[in-house]
Amino acid sequence: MTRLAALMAALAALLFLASLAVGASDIPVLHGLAALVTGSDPLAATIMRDIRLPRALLGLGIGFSLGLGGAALQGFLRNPLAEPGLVGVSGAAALGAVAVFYTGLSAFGGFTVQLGALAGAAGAVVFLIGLAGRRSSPMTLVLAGVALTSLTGALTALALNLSPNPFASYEIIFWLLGSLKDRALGDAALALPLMAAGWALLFACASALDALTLGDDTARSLGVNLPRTATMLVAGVALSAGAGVAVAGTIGFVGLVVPHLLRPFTDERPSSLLLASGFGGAALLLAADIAVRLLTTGRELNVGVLTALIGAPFFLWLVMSNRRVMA
Amino acid sequence: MVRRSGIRVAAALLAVLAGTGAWADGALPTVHSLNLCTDQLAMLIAAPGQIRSISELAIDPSLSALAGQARTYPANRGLAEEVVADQPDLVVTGAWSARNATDLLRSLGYRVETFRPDLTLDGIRGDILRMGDLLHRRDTARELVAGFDAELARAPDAGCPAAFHPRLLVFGPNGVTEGAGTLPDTVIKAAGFVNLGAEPGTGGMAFISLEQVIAMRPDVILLPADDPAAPALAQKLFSHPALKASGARIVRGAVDAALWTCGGPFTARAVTGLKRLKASLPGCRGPGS
Repeated sequence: MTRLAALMAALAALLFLASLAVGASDIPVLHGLAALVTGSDPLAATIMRDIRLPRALLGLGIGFSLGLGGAALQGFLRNPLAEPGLVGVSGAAALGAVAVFYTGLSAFGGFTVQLGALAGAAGAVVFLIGLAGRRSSPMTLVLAGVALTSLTGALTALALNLSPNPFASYEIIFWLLGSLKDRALGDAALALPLMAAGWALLFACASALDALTLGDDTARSLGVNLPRTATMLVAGVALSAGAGVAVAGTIGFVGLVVPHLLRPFTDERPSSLLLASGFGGAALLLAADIAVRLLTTGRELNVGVLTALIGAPFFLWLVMSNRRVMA
Repeated sequence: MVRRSGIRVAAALLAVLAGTGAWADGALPTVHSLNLCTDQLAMLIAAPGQIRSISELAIDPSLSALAGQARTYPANRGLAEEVVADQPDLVVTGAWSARNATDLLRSLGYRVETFRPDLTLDGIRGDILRMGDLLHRRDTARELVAGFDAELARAPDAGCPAAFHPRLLVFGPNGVTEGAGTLPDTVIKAAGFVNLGAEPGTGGMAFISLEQVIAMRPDVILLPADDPAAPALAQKLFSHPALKASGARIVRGAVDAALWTCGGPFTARAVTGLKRLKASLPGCRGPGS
């Protein structure tokens, strides 16, 4: 582990603990942590174990997935604007989850909603690689992503508006601007194994990503199997991003911002960025999720709103500086 | 203006005449209702043939306590145009609903009577009697109020100690609870519960997080009666393990939401339902249930 990755891991761990300490009810921090471990005070234990722990775990896992996925996509597509949320992967995952959940197919239980999200995410990555290709300009990718995001967003809204359940249409906001509020441990238990499998696939691509920075031909001569790498990457991003979307909706911009912030501190090899970016993403999402709880009481702000508020100006700045480079 | 005041004078005359019983059934004023709550009062009080139209919300069983009966009347969408086509003697609607239609109809010279949402039991009595006067059916309205009071006087919780006031929290879809001053708040208090939703001092409809629900230590958590046919995340929250772990009694369907969405004689049944629930709690085991 590089020093940068270790630093980010420490930061994420600190924010994980802080996330456990923040909530609507006033439980003294140490008392709450003691109740979490020992179960001494039943009321505090319920709040810590059933409400705050799943939230912190999902913040950690989803943030890690977004940071790692962003770094891997940016490396593979050699495109600074690649990010699961921005290029439509998260939106497609949300559409897949919505299609399964609101039609009642989720009554078959277990992983059905997750499978819907994974199918959506995988379809989007395949579509993007097929349409924009790896040698396309950043603009082509972003335009394809914008088209995909709008289309999946519109279809999600359509599906929810057509639902006979009167509350479904209010849930459009959740799927487009996600939230970690009031998730259960069961949600985390469904999402984390899938995410971990995705992480493993993405880390397995690390050396191939390094070789690809030298160009496809050089990479091939170094023994990189390009179709195999692409397949692993698609599956890895779909698993890690899709599993998160299925439980927390679309949380944007984390995967865009974090790799860019951390890249200057690495040796510019994609592999050295992956782990640091993962922990950095976890730290950013945990911090944002703490902020929404502190900023608003009562009807809580969706964390996806906050990450978009931070991320969108950053994205704009990135596009501007990109245009200067290309001009 | 002249026409409007003329109509008011005529209406006052009509009311006086109705009070004396000088009107035959055939001459009762026809009514067009644009609001879910006035729909239900009108349906309970009007004579056959008096109701020309009620709002389409009245046939929704999740909102309306009289959904079955509502199907027998022509439904409107709350548009002024429908009223003009219908030419009723009287239009009844909510004080806050379809304001544009209300203003437009008044300027066209229609008599429009608005009802504020009922927030108290006395408010319900007053609105029943007012609708009775408007429809020239005062006797029917009085009978309804008597029935309402008789239902309120029922005490299936007679066996409970007088000082037994369990702490109840309504937890609706998306964490909506019933704050201070709402009709459900009135019903909960009338049944002898403490309404925890009124505690944060928010007033009206309030949002609470799952964590606040647990931290309030409710004795009873009241969830909506039934899930709608199609799934939504709003209902998924009700199966969150923290609710079960809270130790509170989780109750579904002790109150049909339609009974306290609008105030009416039926709202007394919500009070009785909660009293029955109270009688079944530990701390109140005795006769009278």
